[in-house]
Amino acid sequence: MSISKGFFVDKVVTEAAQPDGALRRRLLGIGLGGAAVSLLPFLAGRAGATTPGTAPTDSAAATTTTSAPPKRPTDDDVSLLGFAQSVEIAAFRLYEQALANDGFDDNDRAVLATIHDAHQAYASSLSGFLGRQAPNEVNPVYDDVKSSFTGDRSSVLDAAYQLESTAVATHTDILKQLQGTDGAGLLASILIVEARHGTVIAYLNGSTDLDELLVDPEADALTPADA
Amino acid sequence: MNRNDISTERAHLGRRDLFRIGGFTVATAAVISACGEHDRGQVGRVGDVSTTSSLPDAKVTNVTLLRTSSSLQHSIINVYAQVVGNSELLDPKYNDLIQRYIDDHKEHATLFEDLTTKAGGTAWTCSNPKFDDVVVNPVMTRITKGSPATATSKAIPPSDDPRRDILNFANGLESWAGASYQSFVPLLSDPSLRSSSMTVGAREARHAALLAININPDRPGGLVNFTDAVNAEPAAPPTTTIAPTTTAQNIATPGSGGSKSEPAPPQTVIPTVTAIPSQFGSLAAIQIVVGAGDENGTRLKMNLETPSLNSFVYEFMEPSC
Repeated sequence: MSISKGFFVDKVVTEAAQPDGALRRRLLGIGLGGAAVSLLPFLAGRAGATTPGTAPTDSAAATTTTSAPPKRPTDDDVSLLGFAQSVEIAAFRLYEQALANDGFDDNDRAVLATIHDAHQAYASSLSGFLGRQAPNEVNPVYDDVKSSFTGDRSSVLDAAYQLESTAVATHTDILKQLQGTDGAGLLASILIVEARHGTVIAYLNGSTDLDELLVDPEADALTPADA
Repeated sequence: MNRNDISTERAHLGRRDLFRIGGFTVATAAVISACGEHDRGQVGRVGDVSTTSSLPDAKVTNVTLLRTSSSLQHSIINVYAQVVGNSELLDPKYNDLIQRYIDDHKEHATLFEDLTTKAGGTAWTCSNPKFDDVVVNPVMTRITKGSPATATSKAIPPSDDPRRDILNFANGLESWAGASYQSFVPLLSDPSLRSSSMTVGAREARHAALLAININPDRPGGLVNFTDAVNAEPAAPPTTTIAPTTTAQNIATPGSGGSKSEPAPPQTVIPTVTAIPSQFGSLAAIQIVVGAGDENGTRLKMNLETPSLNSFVYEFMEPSC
């Protein structure tokens, strides 16, 4: 810095008038300000809000939280859903047997064909859901009850009624074990309509008994161990 | 004052000084506020402002869903309690049926209340407040009392066929309840609760199916969805009378409203019901149409939607019944 000219000399003197002390204060000020800014997020979190007793905080700890279940099926789910599919395949094949009968009028036939198609759609949807892991097998219940689907109208409707209730019970039982929500949702959408099938079949068969029409009690569930 | 003095004063109030003062102010405020009363987890506030009350913790838990489940049962029970034994609203031949439904719903409500307690929650033994406000009360009022005149519309009389409306409403309620329990399945984290939910859902679906069989005399139209029936047997479509999907019912008789020179406008078509309406359980809104039409023939249309965030019975809610 030149000191050869008076004006600049004055300036130098002015700056020199606040030498070490001013610098210290300045550094202190900057440091304090910086510290304050850096501490703000921390302090703000616990800063002195004066709201008394209305905190939403710790009550949450007492809340039962729902841990998110898996969406996709686990390995065990795949086996269970494969079993459900086998029941559906058996069902639509049994309705094929039933529809081969001559003892039904057009009304019966329209209802049974619709229910047959529904079971076929259920088997297809489970096949699509499981992909290459779908067993595409017929459940042994087919062999067990197929003779009941070839008799007279009333006995076929009885057998169909029993089959629908068995399917509902089986799927409800499987729901107890499924972990993945996607498979559970699909199975729920199937069994809720199969429940309606039973009521319609009971009505077709001339039932006026409320327990029978509402399928109460439900049939026993099939289990993979039975297969 | 000479030039040197001015220069010195400017240096004292310079930009750096302002930063320094600002930093000190912020630091002081932070320290002061940190020293005050506070609760952990609360957002800090600097300054003197009025206190705020925080919203309750609304979490969709298993307990919330179970409380909602029992609330649906109580809402339906309350509707049936208004109509059973009332021959103006319910054909006496259905009294036994509806009484059976009431018994079933009471059983289901108890089941969900027990499950709520087992899950660590407080059982909900009242109806669903949101559903009552938005659906049950408007529907029942429109059926039984109609609607008073307003500045822009004429009064609407009570239903032209209350028995028809009550059965359709009951069918809608049962279908809606079944769909609701189906909708809870992917939300419940415990598989055994999903199974319990669907045990009840299946029963509600059967309630709805039996009502549909009684409401819609067409065969097989009252039993199965017409399109599904035709698709099932494309080579031999059903020859019996099948109700088209939009059968016009209760067309207003000429002269029943409006001026003498103008025929009454047609009343809103009431959707037909079917015992097996679809192949898979649908979660779509269920539309019901009830009551007498207004001056334009428009009846009350109501969409019954499965419960969601605005109609769940959260754990913080207190019963008012």
